[in-house]
Amino acid sequence: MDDVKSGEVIEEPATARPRLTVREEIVGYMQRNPTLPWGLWILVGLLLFSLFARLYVEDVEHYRPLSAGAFLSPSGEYPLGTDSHGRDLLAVNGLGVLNTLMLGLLAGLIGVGVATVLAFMAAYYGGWLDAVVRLVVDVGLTIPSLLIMVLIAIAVQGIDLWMMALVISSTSWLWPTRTIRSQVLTLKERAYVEVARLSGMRGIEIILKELVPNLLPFIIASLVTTTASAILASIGLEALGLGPPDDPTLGMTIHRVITYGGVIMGSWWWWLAPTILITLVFIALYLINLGTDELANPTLRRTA
Amino acid sequence: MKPIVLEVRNLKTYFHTPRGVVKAVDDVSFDLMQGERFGLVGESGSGKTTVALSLLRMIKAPGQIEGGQLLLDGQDILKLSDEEMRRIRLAGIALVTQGAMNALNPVIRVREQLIDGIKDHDGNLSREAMEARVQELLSGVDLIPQVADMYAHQLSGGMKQRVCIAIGICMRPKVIIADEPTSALDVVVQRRVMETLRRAQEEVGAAVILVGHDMGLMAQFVDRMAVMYAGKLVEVSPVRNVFQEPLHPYTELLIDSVPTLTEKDVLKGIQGSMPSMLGLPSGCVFNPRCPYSDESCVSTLQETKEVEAGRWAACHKIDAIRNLNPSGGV
Amino acid sequence: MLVVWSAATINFFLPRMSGRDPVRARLAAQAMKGVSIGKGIDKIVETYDKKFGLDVPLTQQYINYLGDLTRFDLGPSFSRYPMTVSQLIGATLPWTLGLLLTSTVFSFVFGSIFGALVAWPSTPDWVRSISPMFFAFSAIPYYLLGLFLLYFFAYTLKWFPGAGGYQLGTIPEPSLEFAIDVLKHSLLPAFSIILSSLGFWAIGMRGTMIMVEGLDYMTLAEAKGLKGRTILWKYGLRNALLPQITSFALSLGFVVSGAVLVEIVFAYPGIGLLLFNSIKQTDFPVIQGIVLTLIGAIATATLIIDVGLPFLDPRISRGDN
Repeated sequence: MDDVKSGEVIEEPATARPRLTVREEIVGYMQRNPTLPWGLWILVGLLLFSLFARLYVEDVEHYRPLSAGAFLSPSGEYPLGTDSHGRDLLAVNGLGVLNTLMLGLLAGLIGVGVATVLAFMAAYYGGWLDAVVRLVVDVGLTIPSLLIMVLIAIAVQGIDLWMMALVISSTSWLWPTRTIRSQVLTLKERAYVEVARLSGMRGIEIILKELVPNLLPFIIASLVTTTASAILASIGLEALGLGPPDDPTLGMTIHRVITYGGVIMGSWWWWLAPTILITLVFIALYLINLGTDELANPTLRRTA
Repeated sequence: MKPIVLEVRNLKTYFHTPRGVVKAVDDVSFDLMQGERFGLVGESGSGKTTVALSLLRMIKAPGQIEGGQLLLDGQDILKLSDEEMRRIRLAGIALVTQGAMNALNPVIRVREQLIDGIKDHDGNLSREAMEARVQELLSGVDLIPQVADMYAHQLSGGMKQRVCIAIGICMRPKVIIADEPTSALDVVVQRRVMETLRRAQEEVGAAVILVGHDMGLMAQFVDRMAVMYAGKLVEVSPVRNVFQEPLHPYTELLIDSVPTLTEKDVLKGIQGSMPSMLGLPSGCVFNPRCPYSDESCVSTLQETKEVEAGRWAACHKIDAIRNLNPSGGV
Repeated sequence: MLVVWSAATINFFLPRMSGRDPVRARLAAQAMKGVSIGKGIDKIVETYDKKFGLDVPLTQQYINYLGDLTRFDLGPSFSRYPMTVSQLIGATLPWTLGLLLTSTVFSFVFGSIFGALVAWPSTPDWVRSISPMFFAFSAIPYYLLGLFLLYFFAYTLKWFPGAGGYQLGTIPEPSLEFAIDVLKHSLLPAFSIILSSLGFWAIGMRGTMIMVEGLDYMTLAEAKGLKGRTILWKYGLRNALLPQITSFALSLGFVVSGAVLVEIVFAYPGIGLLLFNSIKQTDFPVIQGIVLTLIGAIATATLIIDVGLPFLDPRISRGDN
């Protein structure tokens, strides 16, 4: 198959690429990866919904029980109805979207942060450190993270949003550590790293000046996936009843729907809104993930 | 003269890419005699593999055979239905690909891969007869019977290539297309595999189209050869004449680029590189690299014409070049 | 093995890091929630103290713990004394296995075939046209899809029962009616697993098939004039199956976690519902027992796949002669 089929033969002569401004770069990237703006728009929509909820309900505290009558179907006063304990579901969902997104982002940031440090140390210095990190990651990834989190969550008393993020971070660093580590390993072999080493740069310096800037796009892309799986994990934990009981999140709403038979009693408004919101969150993150593929996958990168 | 088994008439295979139409095979014609060994040479990207796949009607989108005729024993196979074409493959025209790499299915045994082609062409034999056929095919390509029970990863490159040849001849086709069959093998194995191919081909009585870029291999193996450049056939001649007195300047350069043992010359490459298939030069496509080109080469395209008996070439300057170096190439 | 051991170790040390007597602290926590503990309390504390009391050295506690584990002795349940954890898990595990195995095998097989067909050039267009639907379903977690199904088929249409594994009031017996009843109860949960995971397997398979189709042996298979069916099954699917099964082994954790949550949505009497209820009643031994059992089950399944893979791929084990 050495013919034109592969498309590689059809190469245009290399012309000097005009220097683009940051703005042009971003616009160009978005045009090449249209799923990215789509995903971002959905996220903006979700935030707008949250803002709308905040402005519509007269008191933010209405996410608490006994703010209204129980099992009220949607009406002008309670556009999303109320649940079995008289929570105003608009307030609950509005805050819930925000909390769930924040929770995911926080756990994602911690996870990727830990992963980046570990991966760079392990891949750059190698030796026993690398062996230990690899072993822990390999074993950790075989165990379903939800189950590890269950073990940790039951050991923690009085869980709140921050605690929850920490619990999720306990496993969310595993996957990015593995992927970032392998990226560092390939990058380490490149000539310019060798040149930097020969020119007398020290390890830390090489990592900070040569490796990190080159892997930044990849790290950002893995933040998206890590956040998505952190949100998935948080909803799973919450559905099991291990979530923060006093903070409204989408997962806790699902948990209450299940516990108090919300579906079987026909209160469709109770489960429909959080379900749609969760699905939208996932779709948004999925689209953003697709959109950042070009950043994450060095062979696809066309701007390098 | 032997009867013609395959006539290729004005074959056109184009690829419709987002950036324009790539004429990978443009107006290619040649005849293939019964039992003859025919070489098709060119640099990578010249369209020779596309010709091979077109003969089997295996061009995938965005590629398409745009026109021409492919007459196998007088029957135009471009007019056949897909199912009829499927039956022609292997039984009429067989392909021997570069077997050393991935041509064999890694998860099923060699026996299965020899048999399944026969089975799907209604060659319903009894178990014993099938086994006998397998053994016959294997010994025909100098392989021991045990190979039938092996998987591809247990075979050496040369052995895999022999299995591919055995598959190619299992239905006694009229034409075997061998697409760079030995390019991944080392020279000694290469030679022996070509020997096997020659014997198998003579035994079956099939004609062979050897596709490749190795002029040395061509010189040893084929009777006649065709030279392709940028989707066009620039010369078709008996192999002896090609080496003694190439007609087309491109052929001449191709021969000059082959290192010889007798001459201790500096190895000569060909100036320049293949043009982009999307922006072909006007007139003769070779003119930017041709040492003899003039305005006529840029303005008009010379059709392929019979220069002397049995020799065709597409060049304005043939007579002029002949006067320049009467002894020819090497 | 390493996996099970490390999970067990986490399980052992985590609660002890707080430096409190884990049993009493937890029983106290439970009592605070007003869960009735019953008369077994003294008995529980006694047995625990003997093995894991604060006066026993930590290493000895650890050895006791691991020894108990190997005998599947996970201790008594806090909330349902004198039932032991093993008994509770033993009673629910068959339900989970039944539901999970059938629906996962079903969705894996059909999802893979479907994905392969979508990637196959000569597949009729209508097959390809329904694919976006399945791909979309796969973006929704199992249990959320479960909520939809529950609402429409159990609440609105009343076609299927909405909860449980069999009709309340009937006694489990090996009769035909009971079997049909069980089947009816398992359909909705099974369906939600199948619907949302079918697309997941299909996406994976499509990717692998597209990659396989570009390989040389596929070109040769076509050049051999093989029938489309032969090429698809013997050359395409057969080769794409191997990476697909590897990814199956890697995804087992997700599959199991998803199924646990589906059981909760449908109040299906499997191990997931037991977990849910135990969390509600802060029955720590049961929770830990379930987690360990599931991890053990996943490790076993992974092991089985590892052992079985060489039979599908001759390159792995038989490359010796």
